[in-house]
Amino acid sequence: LIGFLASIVALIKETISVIVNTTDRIDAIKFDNTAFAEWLGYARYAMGDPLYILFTSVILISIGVTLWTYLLKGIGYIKTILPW
Amino acid sequence: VITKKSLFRKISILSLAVLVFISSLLGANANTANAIGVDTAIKLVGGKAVVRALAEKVGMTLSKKQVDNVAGFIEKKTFDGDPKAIEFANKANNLTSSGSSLKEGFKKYLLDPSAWLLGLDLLFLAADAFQDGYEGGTPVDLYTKCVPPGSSRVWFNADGATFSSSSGWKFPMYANDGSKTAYIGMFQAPYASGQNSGYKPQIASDVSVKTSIYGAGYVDMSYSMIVHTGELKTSKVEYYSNSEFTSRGLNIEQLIAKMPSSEYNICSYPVTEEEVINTSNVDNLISDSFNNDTYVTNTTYNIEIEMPDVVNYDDSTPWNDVDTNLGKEVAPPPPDSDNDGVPDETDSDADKGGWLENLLPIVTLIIIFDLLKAVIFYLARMFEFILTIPLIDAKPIDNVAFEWFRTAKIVGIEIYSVISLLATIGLSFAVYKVVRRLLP
Repeated sequence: LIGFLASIVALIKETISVIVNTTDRIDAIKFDNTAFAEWLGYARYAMGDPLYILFTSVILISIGVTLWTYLLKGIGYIKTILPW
Repeated sequence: VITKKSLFRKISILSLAVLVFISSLLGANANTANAIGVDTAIKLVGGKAVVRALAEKVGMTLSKKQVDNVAGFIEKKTFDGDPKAIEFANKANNLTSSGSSLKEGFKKYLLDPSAWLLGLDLLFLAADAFQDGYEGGTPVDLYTKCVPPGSSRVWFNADGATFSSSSGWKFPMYANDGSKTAYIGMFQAPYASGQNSGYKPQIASDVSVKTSIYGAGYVDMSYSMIVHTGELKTSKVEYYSNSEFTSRGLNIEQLIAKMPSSEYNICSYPVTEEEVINTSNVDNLISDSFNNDTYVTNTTYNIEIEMPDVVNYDDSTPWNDVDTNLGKEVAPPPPDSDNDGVPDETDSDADKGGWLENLLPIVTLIIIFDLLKAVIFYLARMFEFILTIPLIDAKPIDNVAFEWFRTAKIVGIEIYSVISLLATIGLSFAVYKVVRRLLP
């Protein structure tokens, strides 16, 4: 019984350790100075400021509108499922 | 038929096109100084913008007057034929390998990034010299007074300054630890490192120095001086040292170590309490460095904390008290009475129901909340990053062909600007059509 409990304790400790490590790794993720941000910097230089700002703004607004549309649709589906 | 509605649309699109065109030109010019030659940059964005950009490159802080002087100097249209300029250029013959044109000499330095610091310093020298004129002057005695140390404990003294045609000016450097002053060594003035016998400032006077000790002891400084020569009446030149000297910066510990005795106290001055070096207080040194509005070097502080191998955790010890048991060997816990390795039923943990039962819910809740917090913060940071994508700074592409394309012109018109403008207008029109279709 003691051995079984010890293995459960070890499992729990390992799980806790993994969760803590995962938390640390999520906290450590940075978006600045990444390869993607660097690529965007190159894109801005190549496209020129006006075109880049217009292009990225249009994409962002389009994504926002699309997500908003799907959100409204999702709310509609949930409303149809609910009995009241 | 032009209706009010269609007229409004046309005016809107035309305004957008004009706005985009102006923005495009501004955006293209912002990167010009870095991407192309100085001569072309001067034509495109003006000498002042180039001077500012170059000064920023080398970490210098220029006053408006300095920018005006240098810009005016390099923008002179009749410069090449100016006899005074040629005379000066001949004296500064290390600048004129490509001929008697001082402008060409400057370009040689300005186009070589490794020599930008020297090039700018020489620009200051020449600009100020031309401003003061070639009236000739009488050499004066060497300025012998002790130079005030300014805001710091390291300074230079005009007394003892030397000039050689091969290495230029050198100044004796001193340091003070609050009680005594010591000679550290001869400092090679950065601007003079490339000068030779063509330009011989014989006397230096009115040297004022402001130095700063950064963090772990790297020394930075700015200084101004009036240089007298046989040809120039006076020319006040301000120099701002940066990497040229900081790369050779001495650690503050090394400075103090070089203070053997008071016999070096050749430059006494009243020492205030603020000037006392307290090497044990690193925070003061760091805050000093950030209080100075000058060039700051990248300094890394490695603080190593030696932890004892054995730590006695005593819950009764307040956090702000010194635990006198730190580092001491801790007596091992008393063995079980029956020594069978199995916890006794009378153990304290067993009385409380075991550590797992007491601790697990709290720990689990805390780490799960931490995880949730991290995920939420991650999503928030990602959202913030996505929103700032249009504002990301442009990164120059280090490609000769592309740089050529950016600056290529046909009949005086930049191809890149035109293409960028057309693409912007096209995209704007496409967006307009889509929006018009989607929104009735």
